[in-house]
Amino acid sequence: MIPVFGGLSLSLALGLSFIAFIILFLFIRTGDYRFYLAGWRSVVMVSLFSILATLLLLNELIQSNFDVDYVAHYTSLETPLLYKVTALWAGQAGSLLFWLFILSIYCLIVLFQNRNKYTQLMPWVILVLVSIQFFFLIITNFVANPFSPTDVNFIVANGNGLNPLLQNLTMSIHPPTLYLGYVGFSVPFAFAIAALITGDTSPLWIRSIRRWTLIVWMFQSAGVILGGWWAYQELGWGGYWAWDPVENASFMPWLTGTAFLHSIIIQEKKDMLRIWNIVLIVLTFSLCIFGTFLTRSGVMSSVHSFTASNLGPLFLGYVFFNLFISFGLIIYRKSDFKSKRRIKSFTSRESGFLFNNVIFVIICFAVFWGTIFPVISEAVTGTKITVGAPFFNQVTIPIGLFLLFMTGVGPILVWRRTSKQAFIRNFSLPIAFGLVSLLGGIIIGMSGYVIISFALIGFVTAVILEEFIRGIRSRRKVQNETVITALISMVRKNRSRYGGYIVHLGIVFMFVGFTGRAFNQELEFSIKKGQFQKFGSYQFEFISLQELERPNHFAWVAGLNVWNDQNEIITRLSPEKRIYFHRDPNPDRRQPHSELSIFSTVFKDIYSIFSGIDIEQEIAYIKIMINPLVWWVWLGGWVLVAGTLIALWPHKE
Amino acid sequence: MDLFTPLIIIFFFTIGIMFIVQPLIESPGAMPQPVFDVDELKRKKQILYRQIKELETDFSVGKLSQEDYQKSRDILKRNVSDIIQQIRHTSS
Repeated sequence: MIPVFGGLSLSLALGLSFIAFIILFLFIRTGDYRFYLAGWRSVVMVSLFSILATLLLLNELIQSNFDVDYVAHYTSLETPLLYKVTALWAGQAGSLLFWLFILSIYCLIVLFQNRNKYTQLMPWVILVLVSIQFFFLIITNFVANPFSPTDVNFIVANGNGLNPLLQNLTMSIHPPTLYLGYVGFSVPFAFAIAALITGDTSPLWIRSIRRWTLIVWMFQSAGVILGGWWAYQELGWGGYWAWDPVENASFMPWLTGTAFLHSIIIQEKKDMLRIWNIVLIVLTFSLCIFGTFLTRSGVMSSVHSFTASNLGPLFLGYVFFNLFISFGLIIYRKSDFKSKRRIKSFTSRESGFLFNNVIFVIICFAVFWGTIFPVISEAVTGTKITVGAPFFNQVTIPIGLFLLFMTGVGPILVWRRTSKQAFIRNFSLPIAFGLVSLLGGIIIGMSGYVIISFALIGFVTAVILEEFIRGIRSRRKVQNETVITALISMVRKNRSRYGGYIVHLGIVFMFVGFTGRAFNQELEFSIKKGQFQKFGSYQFEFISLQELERPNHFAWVAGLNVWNDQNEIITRLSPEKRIYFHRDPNPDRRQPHSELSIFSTVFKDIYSIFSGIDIEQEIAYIKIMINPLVWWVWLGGWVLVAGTLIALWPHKE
Repeated sequence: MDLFTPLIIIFFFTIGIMFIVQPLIESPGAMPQPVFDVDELKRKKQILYRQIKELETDFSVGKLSQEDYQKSRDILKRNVSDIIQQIRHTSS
């Protein structure tokens, strides 16, 4: 009965979304406020029915109701509870419903938060949001219905179970976090379209959208980093970013979203770049939908894509429809939205922001081109030309380093124009720091991009520290406070500014980690119990081989002691070779999987993979990687989130 | 499907429709017509106050010259006083 309710909830939501359209149009035509209230309530109901449908599917997954095809495909009786919940977004139909679920929650927040605000905009904002809901309801009702029953001719005793790669704690957090970001961009998009339709050039909605965008940007950033973390822990190739189409799909809207977050500050403060901001938000939202298309359509083969389908044309059509309408409106409203002010100086903060925007968009375009090129080449020539990591690295590393430079330059530029004196005063110390880092790098034998990266890391760190020190000094002079009190009150009183600097510091930390990749080392070897293998300054001793049967898999666990050059054991690694669905009578359905074991420190990670096993001779095939500075990537991620939270923290007006 | 299922479906559907239609059966006069102008002006005032505060921070850490600071501050203060006048006018 519950699947019937689920399917019905989706059908009712679809019907009501159509009714909402009609009622809201009636309000726009007649101006009768009753229609607005009725439309508003219809969207509340659409959202509630969509949420209900998702909760019902979740219930079926937890209860292992294999009468539902989706449940039978992505869970089994042995699947642990956490991964039964994870199965909600593991497959196509479930993940699209999950999109709708988050969108519906966001819709409810927007509806209630802005009930008595932006009277001109809100009917159109609601219309745009319900139109996005409508699109996902069409798909979940007619194309990928998560409540479709299993074949009536079969009684399914047990399900397929979840893909072993997805049975990872990070994977239970990464997709929802990313989706919170992806879907969240629907709201700024809805406001931007509403502003274009009504011609509302007031800066008021920009403020509220900026805050919203910052929240969803934080989720998206965390989602992208968690995706890298998952790849690092689970995929076993020793890296966290492979320029895979699905990774790129999450990265592209992040780039334009980050550009938007910067340029919206100029609109808020200087009333400039109005059209540019709308273009950025339209691109960001379109790239979010495009990302869903890449992940869900199956046009790209990817280590992150766990579904393949015929949804491609629908999504692509929707992306083009959105772009057509949005750019049509932008052209129509071009003269109304043209900013009256102009950037006066090349050395102003405004131009710094504009530069950084241009770089973000260039990187996004390069990534976009590299991602879709294989599809285009296949469509045009019939041969799929793969664009690999070397292309992306070649293009994005120099531009990324320039962006890092701008991360340092931006904060020390002054609004309107930076005078020569201010330029010298603000830049002297950071440049000195950068040069010291450069010299240090040369002395220890670095070269190429690595040395440029370290010099820029020194430069940007100095800029951020200088900003903090100046602020503290200024407060101490006026308020006579201690350093700590001055720091706390300074950050408390200027949360968005200092939160932003902390975010920049997070980015610097991440660049430290990225630079460390240049020094990665690896060794693959076979080893017998009791033997030692030397690698770098470490000795690896194979001490044990355990066999374990767990609820949903069978595992061989290798015990490896790691000795340093002072003959001390620094850690014990336990990489595993697992066989999932080992109880399945059909051997073809048993899935082997390597579970890694990583010893992580501030300076380097020792990364171990159990590649294979010869049980009779007790030989293990092990791969070891020594990855310097990876820890800084994750630290940078945490600092970035912390900085965003500081910037977001509410304060008294 | 038993008899209970369609009954529940009809029940939920009716509640939903009633919730949506309820505003439409009330007379137009009974609908509250909110006044938003003052709220929006107040929010605009808050934004300007915040901009003045940020300008002061920039000046105190030596990022702005005395001339630029004074110029920008005068513009912002003029905008604030315009908005305060508009709020008074709209409220009265």
